[in-house]
Amino acid sequence: MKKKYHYVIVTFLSLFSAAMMYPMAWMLMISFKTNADIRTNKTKFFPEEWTLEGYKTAFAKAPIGHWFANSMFITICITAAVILTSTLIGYVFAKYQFRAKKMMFVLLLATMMVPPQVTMIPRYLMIQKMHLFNTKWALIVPALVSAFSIYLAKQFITDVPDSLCEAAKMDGAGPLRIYWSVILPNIKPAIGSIGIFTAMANWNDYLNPLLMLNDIDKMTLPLGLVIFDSQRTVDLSATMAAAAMIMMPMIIIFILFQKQFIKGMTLSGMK
Amino acid sequence: MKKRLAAALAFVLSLSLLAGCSGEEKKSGVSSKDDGKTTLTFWCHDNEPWVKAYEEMAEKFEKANPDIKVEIQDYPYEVYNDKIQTALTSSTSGPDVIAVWGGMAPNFIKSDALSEVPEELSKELDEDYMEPTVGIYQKDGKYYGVPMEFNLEYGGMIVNKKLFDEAGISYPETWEELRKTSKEVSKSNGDIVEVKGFEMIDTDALICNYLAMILQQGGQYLQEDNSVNFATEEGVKAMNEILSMVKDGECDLENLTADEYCYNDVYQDKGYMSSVGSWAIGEGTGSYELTYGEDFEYVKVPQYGEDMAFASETGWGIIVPENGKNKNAAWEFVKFFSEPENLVQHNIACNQLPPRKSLLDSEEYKEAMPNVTFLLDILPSGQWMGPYNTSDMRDIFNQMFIDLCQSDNPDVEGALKEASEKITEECQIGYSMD
Amino acid sequence: MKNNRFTAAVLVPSFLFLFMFTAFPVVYGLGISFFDYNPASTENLFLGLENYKRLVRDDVFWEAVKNTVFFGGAAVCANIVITLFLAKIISVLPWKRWKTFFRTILFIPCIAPVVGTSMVWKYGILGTDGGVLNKIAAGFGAAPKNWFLTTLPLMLLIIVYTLWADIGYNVVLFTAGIEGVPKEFDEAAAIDGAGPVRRFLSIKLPLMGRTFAFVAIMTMANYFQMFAQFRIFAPKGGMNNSAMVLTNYIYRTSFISFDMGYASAIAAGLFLIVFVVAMIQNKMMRADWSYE
Repeated sequence: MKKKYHYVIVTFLSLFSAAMMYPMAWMLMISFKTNADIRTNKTKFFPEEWTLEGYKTAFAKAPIGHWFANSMFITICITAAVILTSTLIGYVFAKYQFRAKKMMFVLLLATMMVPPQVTMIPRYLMIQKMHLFNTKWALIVPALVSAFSIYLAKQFITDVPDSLCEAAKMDGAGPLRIYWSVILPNIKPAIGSIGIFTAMANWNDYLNPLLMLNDIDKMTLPLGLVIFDSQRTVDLSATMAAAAMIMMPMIIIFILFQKQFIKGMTLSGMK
Repeated sequence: MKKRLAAALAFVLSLSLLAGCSGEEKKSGVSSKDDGKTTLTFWCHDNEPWVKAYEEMAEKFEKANPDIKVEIQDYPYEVYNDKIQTALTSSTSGPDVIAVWGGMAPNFIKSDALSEVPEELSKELDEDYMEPTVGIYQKDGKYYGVPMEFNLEYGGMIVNKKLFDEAGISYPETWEELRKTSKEVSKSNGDIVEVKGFEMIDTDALICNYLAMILQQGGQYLQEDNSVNFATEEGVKAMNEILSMVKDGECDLENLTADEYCYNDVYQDKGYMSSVGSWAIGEGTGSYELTYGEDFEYVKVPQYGEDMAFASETGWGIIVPENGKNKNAAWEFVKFFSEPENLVQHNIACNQLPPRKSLLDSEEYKEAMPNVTFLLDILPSGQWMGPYNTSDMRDIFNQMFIDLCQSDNPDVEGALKEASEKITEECQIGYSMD
Repeated sequence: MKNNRFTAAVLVPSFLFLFMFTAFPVVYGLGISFFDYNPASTENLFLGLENYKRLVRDDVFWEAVKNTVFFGGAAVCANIVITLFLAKIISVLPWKRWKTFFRTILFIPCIAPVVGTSMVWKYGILGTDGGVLNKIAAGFGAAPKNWFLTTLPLMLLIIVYTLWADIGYNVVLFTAGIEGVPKEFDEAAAIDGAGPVRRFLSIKLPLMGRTFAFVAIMTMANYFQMFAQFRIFAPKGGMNNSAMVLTNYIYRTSFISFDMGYASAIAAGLFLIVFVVAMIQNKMMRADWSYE
């Protein structure tokens, strides 16, 4: 069933994709140029002479390794915690009867309506009072429970047949046992989906690190990049090299595992 | 595929956990006593030569005071002020001494978190410091900060010697020559001036030059009641002069919108002259690796009016938080820092102008800084910019300027009047200073 | 099932936690908004409603409200139209490889941090000297423009950037949604003589209602919070605050001017707006959140 218009669509989408990729390509090209080259050959896309100068400067002047480790640590802690809390809470909402359940669920959803900007000043003050300011925990602790992920988990867990839970219960399994050996194995795709959403949101977050972190060695990648840019206004080559180093690993991981990624994303939208 | 994902994740997880643990908490000297020594923590922003100068000062102080240790900690300027605010807020373990930008100081002074300058030192501030340098550090007639420099954004300009030599022209000596040269050498294209003549339109320099131009005509923008009025005869004339530089294509607004300094253009051979403080010399020899005297020079900006006059805002200074554990030792350090013979070395190392009158004819300074001595002569003609939050003031002023530039037949007087009122109302320091 | 002890053991701590970081801060912030609040001071002056009076008179606040709503509205609508279109034309392709390829490419910008890609756009696309826009303009013989001097064009460019950075998500979601609709419906309608556009609008769209509601609500919630690109493109709010949005205004007021009391009043204003928008949205979408 290949028709003419299919080719038209492919051509259109190819052009569109090329345009979409232009900024990334530009970043890479600049990162391999010297600053003199950038200044003199403004209209050329490719470097006059390929150089790693920008990368060397970025590596020498910015603690990218620290930033990377911080981002990784924070993202992984939050993602693991959110997967755990959201499936556990979602499980209770999906499979247990208790008083005021409906009201509590509405309350839970209501917390999603509170935009983070509204709470950012009090959160900043609270984190200070809790002596977590300027530590990784300032970012991790407030993010341990996510209403959105609970909602998502609950939708999936509702679909796990009650009979499976009942059967396990007959066999003498306690609630945690059922959670571990019946619920979790049956919602693996959902876990992937929650994990991807949470990880991406926290990996790319800029506002919270900006509020909560001060020391350059404690920063995360997005915040570190902005600071680096502000310190080297005229060194575009190094700035773009830093940007490339910050973006490329994730993009490569995505391309390698894009099937899993896309499947995880898709599931969230179906529920 | 799934196994690969899991394996990759596990690998990354263990890696980051490792890094997370090992990279954790380089313990800073929070404890004030170890082996009977008092440790002072000094905060500054991460300007390399400055940090080095602070370290030298600390070393000298430690030699003179063997029972006190000074630890220098530097932070990126982007987060620096936020960091100070946080430190003042917390009740425990903050820095003992903080270097602060005068423009930001009111934010900290308005709280009651700063320690008052001791009497002895405050007498020196009254007697030996020039007015613009101490202005902002006052509240209710008391001082809460000690200046370390005279901040001057007017008076000197970076010139691109190479471009001047190639064009076979000499540096302008009078204002008329300056404008003429500037017009001749500049090349523009649309919104953009590809080669700039004389530049003074960036966030810092614009208002400083404008105020100097008013004052040099014998005018005044600061009224008796401390309100601001630019809409005077002199104010309108000066504004028209600056607007004509843009209209004539001698310079553009890009540095204003990108929040960058004009001197970058000169260092990149995109401009001939740029008005800026003497500290920018260091950027040329440092970041740009240019040679002074060969690639560029720092010379006097030709005077606009009859008499030398300019307004200057308070520059970098030192504050001591009230919640510090070693306030006495901290003030000892500040006093040591401010001793003329120590301060002058610091000013030299940081490319700063000295704040103390007694240093104006310091041979040591003149010898070390031959290129900026011409500025020392004009320092006494400076007045303080006024009790204003200067960064907010600049935002309003610069926006007005951009609007004027973009309008086809600008109402200069009306715009100046409106901006004056807005600045008076919104930017005046909220607490009483004397 | 019923197990009150287990239920309580899970829900009590998690709700306490959730409220500690959402409901409590709202109340806390409301409290601060009545003071001239500076955390560094030992005593803060009680102002009563003074901050709110100032808020009502504050032109920058209303400008920021206008911009936030405009940005949210325009960007969400454009996003949904464009992503539905792209998802539709991708889904009709008979080649699986091409489908995957296009979805992957469109998704790549979503993976990168917004601050990073904003920076790339700031220098590479909008850049006065050497940016693509001015190169294209030069191709048409137009003089180069300083885009950061503009008002509406800069805002529109920020919207275009946001779409570039974000359409991948919704394309993926919509493609899945469209492919989830059984083919029979479509074929039946085709036999009845309905054209492809008509078929798409009247058959597929209603059938993928759930995906649609999810996407619309999530995108809306997301866009009202956008901050990073505004910090990069217009850190001070752009020309005459034409690109000032509420998040940036709150940030600037509290963390650059250190006027936390007033910033909290702005935040309260924002909360009210979000609340109203959510109510309207709920009515319009009849969002299918299941509440059992």
